[in-house]
Amino acid sequence: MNLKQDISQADFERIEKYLFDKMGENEKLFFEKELKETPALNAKLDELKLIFEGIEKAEFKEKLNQFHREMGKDSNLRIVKTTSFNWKSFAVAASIIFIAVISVILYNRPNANERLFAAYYKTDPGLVTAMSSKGMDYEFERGMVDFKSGEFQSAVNRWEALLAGNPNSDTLNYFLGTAYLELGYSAQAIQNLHKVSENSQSKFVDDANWYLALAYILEDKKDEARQALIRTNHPLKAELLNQLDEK
Amino acid sequence: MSSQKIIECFRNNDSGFLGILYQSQFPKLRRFVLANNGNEDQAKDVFQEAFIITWENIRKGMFIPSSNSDVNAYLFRVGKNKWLDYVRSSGFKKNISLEIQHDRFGEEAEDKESALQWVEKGLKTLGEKCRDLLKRFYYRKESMSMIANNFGWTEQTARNNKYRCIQQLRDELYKMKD
Repeated sequence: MNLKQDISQADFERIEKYLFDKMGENEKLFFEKELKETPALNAKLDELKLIFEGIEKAEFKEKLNQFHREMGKDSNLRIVKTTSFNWKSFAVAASIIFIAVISVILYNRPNANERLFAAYYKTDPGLVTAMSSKGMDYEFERGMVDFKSGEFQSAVNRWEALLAGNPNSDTLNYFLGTAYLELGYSAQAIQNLHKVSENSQSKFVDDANWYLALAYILEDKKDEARQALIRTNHPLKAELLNQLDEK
Repeated sequence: MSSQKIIECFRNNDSGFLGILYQSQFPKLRRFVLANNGNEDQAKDVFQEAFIITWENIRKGMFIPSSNSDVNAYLFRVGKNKWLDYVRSSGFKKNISLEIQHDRFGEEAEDKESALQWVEKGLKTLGEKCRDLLKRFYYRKESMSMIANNFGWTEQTARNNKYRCIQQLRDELYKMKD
């Protein structure tokens, strides 16, 4: 390596500012120009860059040893509990950041309801299009094509328009409900599915109650879910009821 | 946790995040190493090496995790491969102590690694105050005002002291070079 150059504090501060991306656009361009024209400055930058990286990596390695030692205190190498703060060396600020990070991690993990939902939810296969039964409408069928190709928002848009003129249609309410459920709007899905669930004449009543139960599970409304399950004749009814009762 | 947040945690050396990652993932690799002719010390070494590689690759953008489980899987994979490489190597058969081979390509990367180790050595010679100051700024990414507060300095004093500590470090490093 080269002989040691003197680096003035002014140069040091500027180089550091540049390396940590704290310079404004103009300042940066000016500095980069200077770097090109002044090899000595460039050499200083390379050296400081290495030193900064070296310090960070060295401290990081120390930290790993600290994590390891703390783990050893639990004889079974248990996974660290989020409530145990034994890190006296941490400033209050660090503890607060720690809590915030943990909450974010926990919040973003699927909860028990979401897991239960995922275990039992299957997309409705949709109706065969170009059916010539009564009341089937071209716009409805176009929505069904959207639904079957996974374009649930488009399907919803088409069907909502139809629902305006046909608010009690069990077919529309059923498929809207399931489309909303696909999109994650469980509260809205409940509204649509509910209309079908109480219509024992509808050919969709069993499935509507099944999906209604799943939607209630997502909303953490276990009692309503149970009631919907009791009404349905879905083959997995007993199993899901058992699962609900275990929680 | 979102991809962006995960990458930020690695860039900022978020100790809560890194600590949880370390302590929750170590047991799995440890079990693997122990089940494959390794001992406790080797498990620790391999895991830490894999952890460092994961940290570097995420920060460099060479690996972009989309979730926590992505990170876990990557970490385990790196560690497992490192261990298996070692077990299959001649060093292991001759009972040579574990010298983790870096997957470095070419002289440049090896030069860089030894340069970083040189800095690490120099750092160890500094006094406690300097080490603490440098650790807070360069590793913990604390702001100058936070650091100044901690030591009871003004910000300008903190800046001056940081500069002085780096000078000390450089002096030491050049001394060691001879």
